[in-house]
Amino acid sequence: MSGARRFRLQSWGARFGLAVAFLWVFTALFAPWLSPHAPDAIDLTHELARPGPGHLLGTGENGIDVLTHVLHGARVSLEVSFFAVLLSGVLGITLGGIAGYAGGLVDEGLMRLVDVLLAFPGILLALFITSVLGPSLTNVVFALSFTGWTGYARLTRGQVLTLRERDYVQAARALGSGPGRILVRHLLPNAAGPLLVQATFALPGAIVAEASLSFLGLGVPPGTPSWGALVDQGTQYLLVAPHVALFPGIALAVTVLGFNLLGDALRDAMDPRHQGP
Amino acid sequence: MDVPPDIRSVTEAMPPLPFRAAVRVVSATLALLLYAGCREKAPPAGITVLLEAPPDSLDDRFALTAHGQRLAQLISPGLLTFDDASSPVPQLAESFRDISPTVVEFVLRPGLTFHDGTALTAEDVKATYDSLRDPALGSPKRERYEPLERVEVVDARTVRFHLKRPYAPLLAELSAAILPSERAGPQGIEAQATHPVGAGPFRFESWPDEEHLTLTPFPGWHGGTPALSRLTFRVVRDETTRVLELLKGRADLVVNGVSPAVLPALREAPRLRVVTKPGTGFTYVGINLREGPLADVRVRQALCHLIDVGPLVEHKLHGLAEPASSMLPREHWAFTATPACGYSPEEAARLLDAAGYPDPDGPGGKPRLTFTFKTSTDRFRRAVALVLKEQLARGGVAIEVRALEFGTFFDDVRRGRFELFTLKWAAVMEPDLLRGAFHSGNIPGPENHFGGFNRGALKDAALDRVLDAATQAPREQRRALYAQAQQELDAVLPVIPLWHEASVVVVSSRLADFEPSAHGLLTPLARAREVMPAAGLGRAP
Repeated sequence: MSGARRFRLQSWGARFGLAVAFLWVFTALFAPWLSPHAPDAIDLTHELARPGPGHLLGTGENGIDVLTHVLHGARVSLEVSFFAVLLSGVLGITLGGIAGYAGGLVDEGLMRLVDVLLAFPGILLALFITSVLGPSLTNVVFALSFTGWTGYARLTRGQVLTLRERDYVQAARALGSGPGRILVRHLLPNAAGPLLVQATFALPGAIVAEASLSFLGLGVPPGTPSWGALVDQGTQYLLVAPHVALFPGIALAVTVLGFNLLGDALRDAMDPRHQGP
Repeated sequence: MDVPPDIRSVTEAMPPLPFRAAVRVVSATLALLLYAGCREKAPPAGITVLLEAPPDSLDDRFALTAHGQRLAQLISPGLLTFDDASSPVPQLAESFRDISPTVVEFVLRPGLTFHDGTALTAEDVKATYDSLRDPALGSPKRERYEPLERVEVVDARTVRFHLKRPYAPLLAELSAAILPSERAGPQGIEAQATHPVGAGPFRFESWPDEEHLTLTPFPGWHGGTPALSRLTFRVVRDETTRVLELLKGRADLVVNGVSPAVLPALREAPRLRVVTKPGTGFTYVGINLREGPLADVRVRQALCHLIDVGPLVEHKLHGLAEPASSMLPREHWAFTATPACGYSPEEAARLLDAAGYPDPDGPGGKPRLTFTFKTSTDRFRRAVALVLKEQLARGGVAIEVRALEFGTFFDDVRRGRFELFTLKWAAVMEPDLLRGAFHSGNIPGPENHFGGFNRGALKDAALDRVLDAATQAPREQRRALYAQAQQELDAVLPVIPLWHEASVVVVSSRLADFEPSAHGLLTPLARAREVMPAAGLGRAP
C-alpha cells in the first residue's frame, strides 16, 4: 500500500488535521464575508461585553467583536505562517542543497552558520529583530524566516548527501548534467517527502511564533486582528471578561494540534518502517 | 475464631508492628508537609502594600523612580511636602517665609528626632543640602540646586537658604529628605542605602530583596505614632495577580496599580473599597512642530477639534479622569481656565480647508492628511491610540499607529523622530514644568544630551519671556504669569491635552482612614489606622 493511500485511509490524526487545515484556510480566505463586523470597528459603549446575540463571542478592548477578530486572526496567521515557511523553505533548501552537493569548505561554512543560528533561541532572535524593525507583518515574516531556514538546510543537506551517490545521479552526471540540473531535477524531488513533513511541522511553529510576538506587542501592528494580540488583550481582563482570551486561545490550540497531527500522519506515511508489506 | 488461611498468610506476610507504625508516621509527616506546601502562605502581620515595581533606592538623594521617592518620603521626609493643589506645605518645617527675593527662612518643628534617637537640627538641614550640591556625593539631583548659593544656620531650629538670584521654583526642591549630618556626606551613602535613617513616620526594618520591604511605625514622629503595627511592601508586577491578592485578602493597599476596567470587580468585593481623587498626571498627544503640515497651527487645532475626549474618559477610563485643557490640573494653584479647542468636526474641516488640505474625494475616501502616531507597547496606550485613529479618520486624517518597545519609542521622542505621539507626565506639581516643556531653550539636542522636555520644538519668544519671568516673581505674580502662559499655549497648541487621570487606590477593610493623595503619595499611611478584622471577615488562611 502506498504511503499516500495509508495516509488517506487509516490515520484519524490525518483526518482531524486535514479538517482543521481546511477549516483554517477556508476561514482565512473568506473571513471578510464570514465576519459579522468590520475588524477595525470600535464601539466604546460595548467594551468587554459578554457573549450574546449582538456579539456571539462577546467584545474585547475598545468594543471590538471577538468573533470577527478570531476569524480575521486566522487570515493573519495563515499569511504569516505561509510566507515564513515558504521563505524559510526556499532559503534553507537552496543553501542546504548547495552545501550537501558541493561539500568541502562551502559545506563547512554553511553548516557552521547554521550551528551559530541554532545556538540562539529562535524566538529571542525574532523578538530582537521585530523590536528593532518595528511591528509589521513583513517584519514578522522576515524575523521568523531568519532562523526558520536552518532546519530545512540541515535536512536538505542530509538528503542530498544520501542521494548524491545513487546510480541515477551518477548516470545523470555521466550524461553531462550540471550540478544545478542534478540538484533540481534529481536530488530535490527525491528529498521532497521529508521536506514536506518538515514544512507541516514548521507551520504550527510559525503560527505560535507569530502569536507569541503579537502577544508581546511586537508582532502585528496595533489594531490588526491576531490571535496572539487578542490573547494579550484578554489577559488584562481575565477577571472581568475571560472570553476575550479564551476564544482566540482555543482557535490557536486547535489549529496547532491539527497541524501537528497532520505532520505526524505525513511522517508516518513517508517512513518506510511504517509501510506495510 | 479461626482466621481463614488466606488471611493468615497475608497477615503473617506483613512486616512487624514497629515498622508499620513507622510507615504511618512517615506518611502522616509527608501528608502534613504536603498540606503545608499546598496551603496558602499566611500574609505577614500589619498592613501589606503592593507595588508594581521595586524602588530603585530608599535614599531620596538617589531615588529617581516614583516608588523610590514615595517610599523614601515615608522614612525620611523633607522640610516641605505638597498638598493636593500642589502648594508647598510644611512637613519637618513648622513654617517658612521669604526674607527677601533671594533668602528663604525655615523654622523647624520643636523636638524633632531621627529614628536613631538623635535630635534633628538646622545643622542636619545644612549638611543635607551641602552634600546634595557636593559633586563628590554624585547625586543625580545636584543640578536642581544650582541656584542655591549657601545654607545658613541661624540657630538650632532656624535655617536660611540664600539664592544666587530670585528663583521661585527652588521651593519645590526643598522637599528633599533631611538626613543626620553624619550620614549626609559621601561617607554615609552605604549606610543610608542599606539601612536608611530619617525622621519620618516609619522606620526601616528590613529589605531582604528588591521584592520585599518592611517598615515599622516611629513613635517619635511629630504627628504622633502611626496606628499601623507594621508596613510590608511587596512587588507584584502582574496586574491580574495584584487584583487576586487583594480579592484573597492577602494585600491591603494598591495605589494607582489597577486599571479602570478591573475596578468594577473590586468594587463588588465586600472587604475592599475603591477610593478616587482627581489626580495630577497629564496625558497628551505630542506634536512635532519642526516641519510639515503640523508646523501649521491650524492643522494642530484641527486635530484637537477631531479628538473627542469625552467617550474616552467615560468608557476607557470609566470616568476616572478629567478632560484636560492645560498641563496643570484644575485643582492646581496656578491653573487657569482657557477656551480649549473642544470636539467640533465642522471647525476641524474648516481649518483644514483653510490650511490647504481639502478633502480630495468627500467623506470616507482618501484622507486629507496622513501621519504616523507613535506609542509604547503598553496595552492601554495602544488601545487609546486606536480610538484616536478612528476619531481622526472620521475627519479625514489618517494615522498609522506604531507601537514600539518603550526604550525605542522614548528615544525616538527625545530625538524628534516622530510626527505624533502620546505620553503622560506622572505628576505635575511645580508649574515651572511649563518652562521645561515649552521653553525654546529646552528643545532636546546634543547640547543637553537630548534631555530637554520641549520635544515638539516649540519656539515662541513671547512665551519664553513669560515663563522666564515666572521663575523670578513672587507667588501672586507667578499665578498671573502662568495664566498668561496657559492662554498662549492654548492658542499655539504645541500638544493636544487629553486628560488628567485620577488617583485610584484600592483599600482593604483592614486599613481605615486612608485618604489618597492626588499625587499618588504613600504619606497618607502615616494617618491611617489598622483595623482588626471582625469574626468571619478575617483574612484568608
